[in-house]
Amino acid sequence: MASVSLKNVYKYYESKKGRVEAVKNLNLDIKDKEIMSLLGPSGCGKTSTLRMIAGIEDISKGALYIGGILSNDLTPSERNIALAFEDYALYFHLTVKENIALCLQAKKIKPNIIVKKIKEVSEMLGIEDILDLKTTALSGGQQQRVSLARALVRDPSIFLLDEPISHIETEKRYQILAEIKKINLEFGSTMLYVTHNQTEAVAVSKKIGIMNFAELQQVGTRDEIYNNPINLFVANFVGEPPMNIMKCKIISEEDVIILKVENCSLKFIPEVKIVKKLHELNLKEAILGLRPQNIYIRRLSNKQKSVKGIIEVIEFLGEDVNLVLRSGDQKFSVYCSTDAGFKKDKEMELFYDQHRLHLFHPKTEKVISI
Amino acid sequence: MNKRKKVGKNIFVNLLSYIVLIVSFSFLLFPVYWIFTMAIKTNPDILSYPPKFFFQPTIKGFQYILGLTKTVGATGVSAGVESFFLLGIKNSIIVVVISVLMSLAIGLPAAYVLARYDIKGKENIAFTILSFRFAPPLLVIIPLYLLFTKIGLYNSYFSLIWVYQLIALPMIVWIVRGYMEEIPIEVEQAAIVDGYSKIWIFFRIALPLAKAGIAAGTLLAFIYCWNNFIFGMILATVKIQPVTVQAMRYLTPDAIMFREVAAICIGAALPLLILSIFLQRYLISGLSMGAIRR
Amino acid sequence: MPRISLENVTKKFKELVALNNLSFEIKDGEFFVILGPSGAGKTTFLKVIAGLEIPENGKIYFDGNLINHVATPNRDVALTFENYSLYPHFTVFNNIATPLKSSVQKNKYNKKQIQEKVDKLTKMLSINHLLNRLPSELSGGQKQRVALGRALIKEPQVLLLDEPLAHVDAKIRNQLRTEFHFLKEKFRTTTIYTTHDYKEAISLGDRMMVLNKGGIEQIGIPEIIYNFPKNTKVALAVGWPEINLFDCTVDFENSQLYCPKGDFVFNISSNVLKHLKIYGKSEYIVGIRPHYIGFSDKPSDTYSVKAICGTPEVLDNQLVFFAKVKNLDLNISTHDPDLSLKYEQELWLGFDDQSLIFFDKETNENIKLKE
Repeated sequence: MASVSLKNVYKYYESKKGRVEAVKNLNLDIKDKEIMSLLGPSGCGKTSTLRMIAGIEDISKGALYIGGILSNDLTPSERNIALAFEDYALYFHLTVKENIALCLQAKKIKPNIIVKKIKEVSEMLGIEDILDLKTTALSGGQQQRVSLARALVRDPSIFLLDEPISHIETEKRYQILAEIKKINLEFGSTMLYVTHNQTEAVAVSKKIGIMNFAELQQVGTRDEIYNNPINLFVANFVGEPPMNIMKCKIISEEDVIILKVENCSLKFIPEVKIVKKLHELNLKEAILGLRPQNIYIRRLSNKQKSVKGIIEVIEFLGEDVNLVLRSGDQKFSVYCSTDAGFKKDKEMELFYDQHRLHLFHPKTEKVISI
Repeated sequence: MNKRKKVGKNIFVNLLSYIVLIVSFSFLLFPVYWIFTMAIKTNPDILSYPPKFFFQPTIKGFQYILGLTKTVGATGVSAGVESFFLLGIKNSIIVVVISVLMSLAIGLPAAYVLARYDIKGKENIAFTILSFRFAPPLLVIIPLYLLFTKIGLYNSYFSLIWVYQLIALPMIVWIVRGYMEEIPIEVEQAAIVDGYSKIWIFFRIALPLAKAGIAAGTLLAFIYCWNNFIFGMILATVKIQPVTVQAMRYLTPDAIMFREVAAICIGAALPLLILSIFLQRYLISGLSMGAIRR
Repeated sequence: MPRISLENVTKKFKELVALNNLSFEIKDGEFFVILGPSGAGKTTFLKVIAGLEIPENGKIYFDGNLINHVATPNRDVALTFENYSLYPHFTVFNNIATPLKSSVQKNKYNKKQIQEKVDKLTKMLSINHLLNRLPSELSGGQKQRVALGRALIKEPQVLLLDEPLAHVDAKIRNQLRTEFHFLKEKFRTTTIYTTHDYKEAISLGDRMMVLNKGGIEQIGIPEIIYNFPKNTKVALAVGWPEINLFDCTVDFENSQLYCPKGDFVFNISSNVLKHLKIYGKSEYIVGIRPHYIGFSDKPSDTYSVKAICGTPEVLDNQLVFFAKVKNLDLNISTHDPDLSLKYEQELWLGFDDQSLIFFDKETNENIKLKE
């Protein structure tokens, strides 16, 4: 059993400037055989978290449970984990086969079993034909596969991956991700995948955790995070192009509560349920978020409301078009899937669904929800 | 492994590391320590057996080498002793500083050319320069002596400075060349696109970015030149000899002045120490430039 | 902002041919994008235009003037390098001001004027608050802007940008790409921008070129490159997920296409059939982009090809999945990420024949562009 559980975990570094908190009060659960992504910008604490689970960094405070057993003081090999890093760390002077065999030889496993294991693992990762090549002759994609094979051959119960595909040729990236998922399905190893790239995180796992400034912000499926972000950071981080964020004032116009965006004439009408909450919180201002994908160039239903803007930029992207429109001083993006004769400087009417508006508290930046 | 065992293991490992460090440290620094104590002991203490680790220190040795001790001559006139130390320091400074400056003037442009240009036989030239370091000075000392006396260069600062190039030049060229090769060519190409000449690039891009290498090369060149003994001894007389050779003069026919020899050793090493401390800053700063992507 | 013309330009590095007999023209004031994978010759091309590399063969003209023998400082070009190549020991201010102080500028600017110019440009690039920092204290995106500032400050007649967004975080890359649209308006130069990301190419280029192993595959406006690729290489180079390519035989009698690998047929309109008849052959490579394949959970006249659905993934803004038809795997994408498709579900596919691209089986070339 190899579930991973972090309870109230902290990581401190002592530096000249005092104590630096790399990880703050982290509570994270990965079920046995589950694959989870940890997503966040550089410096958010995700790599420190991975290293603490691996055992190559000490846990400053809090508890790590592996398979239900308190594991803070176990060495990495006692935890039975395998690591895959950004830079593969292969032994350059050895061939692929020797690289994979090395750790098994160290464990004094019988040669015929070693051969069998190497065959099994190299078939799974498609590297049978390069077993006798020196690692320096391989491409990035091949090197990463060898690195995965080397880790796999030890039958680890937990697999920790830190940005493993960032240096691999674009054509091969998704292939390696597919192989990583295959490893999880066929070998049943619990996996944690750390990255700053949301497309990778979404492609590799259902469950995604987002970190920023040493804290875990939100955990959920891609849809949960995308449609119900818990705060402004998460809302802005997930989704490409990013969510349109606008500061607005809450005012009353003809008995309807509307959100008027600062420095322009854009007005958005929130749902009645949200209005009640705004009232409860006694807010005069809020931060409004609306995804470019949730703004439409045609009216799709009678319930939809509309705003107007002037086209500034038309980005033709092949399958889609990204429009940047302006209203007063405010710019916002609209994402559509046709290239229906847009013209620069033309004014357009755009439509949105009220329930797609996200409102955030102007001070705490937390989402305002019912 | 339970927590108690692990903590115990940690303490043991730490203790062992400290012991190993202290032992190696002591072993390496012992001669320095011993010479330093020799410089401040009285003569009987120096010669006593078993060796004395606790003694009454005296600064008489240092006073003597600085020429501060007064002796009474045969005529009853009291005068200060001649300071071989100060004469030696003066000579060392003149010869070594000028040698190093000369090798920088020749070596830095050479390093740049070897790093950047593609000339025929480039590696042969580079290797030839390096090979000067392979040859033991003893090999060339007699021919040089004969040559220099013949052309009238015996016992002149110029001859020492010239010969010291054999020591300093390879050091500077090889170390600085390596650092210059590390500078991405595109930084220089950016300067060309910006409209600058190769000369400007040499002075304002290559040299500043190779600062750490220049500091390292200069320091090593300085140390090896300063410590050189044989060239000064054979190719010059006491008027020109550097401090390393001057130390020998305290081994007189009358008495072997151990203490004074020890004192002059300490004194001769001091300028090197000061220079190293001063240049250390440049050695470290050169390693922290991250302007090019990684 | 000159017109740039190349005639038979070839550049070799020992045995390797980096640029292979290139002849084409870039218009006066154009924002021209070169798209190609790494190793295609993009950086070499820019260096040849700048004069940092000399071609073995060929002539280069700016507005009809031969510039092969004009030294780099006198070509009035500016270049940003893929690795930014900022002067590591100069502050941001000095990095940007340096081009104005060179002898080529002939002391045109005094200290005060330089200060003003740098201030104005850095405000526009939003790096005005970083003037006293060293490059090592900047993030990737910031270094990018400083490199741009250094290139723009001398208002060159030709601006060369080498993969400017390649090493910036994915998130910032998209943001900067959109920003480039605004910056484009402000540059008044002929610009050559290289990249390996097709989105940058089709979004930013007035015209673009697909470069492969030193040779030109196609030059044209982005819409043409995307919708009328000259050959299969170009078709695969732009678009994500990649275009689907499979062999087909034409059944002229029944107005159908038969795909052997997937063992299925589908109808095509008489219009399309007419074009194929004119071209004359009966075997083609058919290309169809993933979002032009329609699907339904029930068979019908339009959706007639049975397929098994692979695992659907929501990637960026599309729902993407493989559909297996016997031995053929097709990429399908749709903009409706809320559809609930299940792994191994049965689907019926339909191919919009207006969006089919036909390539000659022998030459791999688009038959439409032959007419």
